[in-house]
Amino acid sequence: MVRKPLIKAKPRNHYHWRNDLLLWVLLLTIAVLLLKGWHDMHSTFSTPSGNIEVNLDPHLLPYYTLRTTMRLLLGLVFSLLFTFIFGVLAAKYKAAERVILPFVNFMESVPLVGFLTFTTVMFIALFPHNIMGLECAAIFGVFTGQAWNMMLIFYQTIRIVPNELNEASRMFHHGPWTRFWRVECPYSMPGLLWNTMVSQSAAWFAILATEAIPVKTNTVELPGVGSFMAEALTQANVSAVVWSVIALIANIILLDQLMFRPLVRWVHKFKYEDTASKNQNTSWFYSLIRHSYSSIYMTRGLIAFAHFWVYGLPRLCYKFKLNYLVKVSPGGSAKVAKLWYVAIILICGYYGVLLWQFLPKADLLKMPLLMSYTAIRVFAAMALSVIIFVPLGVWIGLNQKLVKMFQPIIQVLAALPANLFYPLIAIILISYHQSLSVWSIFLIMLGTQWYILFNVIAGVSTLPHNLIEVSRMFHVKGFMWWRKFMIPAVFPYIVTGIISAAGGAWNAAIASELITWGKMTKQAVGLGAYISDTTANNELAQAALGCTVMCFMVALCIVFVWKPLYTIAETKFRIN
Amino acid sequence: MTDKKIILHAEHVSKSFEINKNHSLQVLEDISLEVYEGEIVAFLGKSGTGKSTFLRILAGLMEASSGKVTCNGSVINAPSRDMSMVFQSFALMPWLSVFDNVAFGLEALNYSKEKIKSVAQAMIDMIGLAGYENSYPKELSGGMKQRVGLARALAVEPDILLLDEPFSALDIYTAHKIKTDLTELWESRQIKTRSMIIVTHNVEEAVIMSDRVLVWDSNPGRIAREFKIDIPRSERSKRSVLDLVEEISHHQHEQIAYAERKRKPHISLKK
Repeated sequence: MVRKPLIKAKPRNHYHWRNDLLLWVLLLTIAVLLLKGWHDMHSTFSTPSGNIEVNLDPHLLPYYTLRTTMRLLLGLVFSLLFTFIFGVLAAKYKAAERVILPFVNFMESVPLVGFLTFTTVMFIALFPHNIMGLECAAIFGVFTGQAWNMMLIFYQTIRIVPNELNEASRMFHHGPWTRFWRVECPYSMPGLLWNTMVSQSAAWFAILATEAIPVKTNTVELPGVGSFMAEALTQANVSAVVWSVIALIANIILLDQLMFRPLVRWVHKFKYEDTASKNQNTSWFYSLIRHSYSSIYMTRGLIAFAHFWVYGLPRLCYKFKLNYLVKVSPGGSAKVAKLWYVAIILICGYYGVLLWQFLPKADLLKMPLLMSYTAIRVFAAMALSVIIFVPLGVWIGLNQKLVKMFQPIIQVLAALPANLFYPLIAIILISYHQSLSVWSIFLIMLGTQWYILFNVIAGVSTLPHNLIEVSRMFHVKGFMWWRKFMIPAVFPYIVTGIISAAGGAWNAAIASELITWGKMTKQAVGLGAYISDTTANNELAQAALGCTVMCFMVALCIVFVWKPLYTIAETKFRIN
Repeated sequence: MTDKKIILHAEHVSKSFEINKNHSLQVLEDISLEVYEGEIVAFLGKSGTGKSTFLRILAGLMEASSGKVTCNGSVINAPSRDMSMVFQSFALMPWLSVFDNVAFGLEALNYSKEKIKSVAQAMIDMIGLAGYENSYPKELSGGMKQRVGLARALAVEPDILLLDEPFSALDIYTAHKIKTDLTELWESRQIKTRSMIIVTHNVEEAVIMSDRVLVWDSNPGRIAREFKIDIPRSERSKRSVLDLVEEISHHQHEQIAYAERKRKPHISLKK
């Protein structure tokens, strides 16, 4: 996707054929596995029994994780496509930006767990005789877990590309295409990768939830870790639950080692600010590739391709006069823009009316109370996460050694979706007869805490060293140190953490108000339980009402809480 | 100078950074320095000679690998109350107003609210920031920001003021004005600070402001030469210090040329 930068040949003695051997064994294994996964995705429903069932045999788990990983990767591919297309559109065209941004901002915070039932029904209807419908629903789940977040960061970093870089590129007569691939795209890579990694937990969360839905409604089951876990829960099979948790953790670690870690190491070179690389990220897989002979040839191939992609393609377009096809006047004319806005408003209005007619008005009065219960849980969880994890993040962030030690651990922990712990907590709650109304706060925290911890650590470790020196030089300690120095310094990061955690928190609030263990269920009063209940009873109108109310609540929250907080963080507490 | 009291004393200070298990980079090698009461010392040298590192060791912000630093008789291993520092990048807290930034160091001294208020206000007036008390750093020009940095450092009444390239980020006219103001305050004893160490790479600045110029050299960082400035402060001007500036510049150019000639591969800090 991205142009591989020129890699200078290192002294020969760094290379070794053993690296090549290991590398090719790994690459071939991965390729074979992916092909197998790809092939099985396209199988039809018609097995001898008529249904594909999830078997609770631990030996099948590796295969199930493969299928789940396949969905995760495809979801990632679609998310990237979306990010690139809509991120660029929003950054370059004002008229597109005005529609895309609010939409994505909203989608980022809307708990999609509530919608999963609807999307699953829709996708099954699209592919009636094929497992592809369920696959698509799961992939769509992954997409909704990460795409918004990724697109937003991509859009933001493209917009803040330093002016000098753009000017330099213009001075060398780069066209928009070349400038995008040589300046804007590389510049936004570190942020995009970082956000993708942070969004992994949301992606896993979504995939576990979507795979579980068919299990609950007892239709066709999609082989995967999520459906395995859901099946284990309904059968109250402890060892199967534990096995699925282990498989999931192993899978996350594997992805981290083989995909994200090498990428983090590679993307390091795109970092613009020269912070003398305090903590050089290392990756054994990256070193393995770099120190193999094959990498020399692969790099050559990639460079040739990148050169064609960046410089050859525009030239080809000009040659065949294809550039007229894409030559939309930047910003569009005012008339087109107006037409576009009117169309959007009309479409929204039309569907709004349809939705209103569909909703049962009888339950409307119950909603405010349910809303406030769920909202209180979300806010309590956020407050608790801030109180506990800000000091922890500051403590870690101030010490480079600790950052180095904790960063990989936290990255893996953060990728673990909160619903992974639900079965374990369900067992505890049900055996000790605890109230879910209180405990679901902790279930929500499982998702939010990492965002806050991550962001605070990042904030503290990018704090200008001079400021830390000033506070030491003037002997600022204790309460004053927190009040005048550290809290204001990390405030923007806390806010960013909270805002990015918001979507996940609502998701978790919805999902954690109803927990199943065998025949027993635990329920808390709230919007989430209402949605789960109504979907389980196939009361689609009521479920739709629940979802609509939830969206409304999230929108209120964005407008009256997150936006003001964000503005304060941006104006008063920004360190420039 | 001999009868003057030594306030800051560094003995055989060395500093090396570990790069990895087998390699370390020697940044400072066996540096000794005495700073007397009532003098201004300038550290002059190109970047990478370890001047700022040494300044931070003196300040107690960084630990020396070997050797020791004493200030007013007590060993420095953490920032001392007798010292204060001004930073090249100002290092102001963006979320605090000018007044709160100046009061930043005072509040840590457990003064009463009234005392903090009066001292900070007096310092703000003295440094020429009156009327800007409620502004925020991002609303100020570079020169005004550095005035806040100076006021903050002087408000705690340190015996020694450490200045780490305080004027490098400013244009020469602004820098000149602040320099003159600072030296005037110091000479007329309006501030309690008796000695200053200023890190700079501007020869003229070093000569005009200080009593002694210590020229640094690199690989490893060390003090290569000392120039005493005997011209009385009242007679110093661009013209009168010209010969000395020429001499020091010449010495520096030679030093750089020599280093270029014998440059050999060595471990550098950048990867």
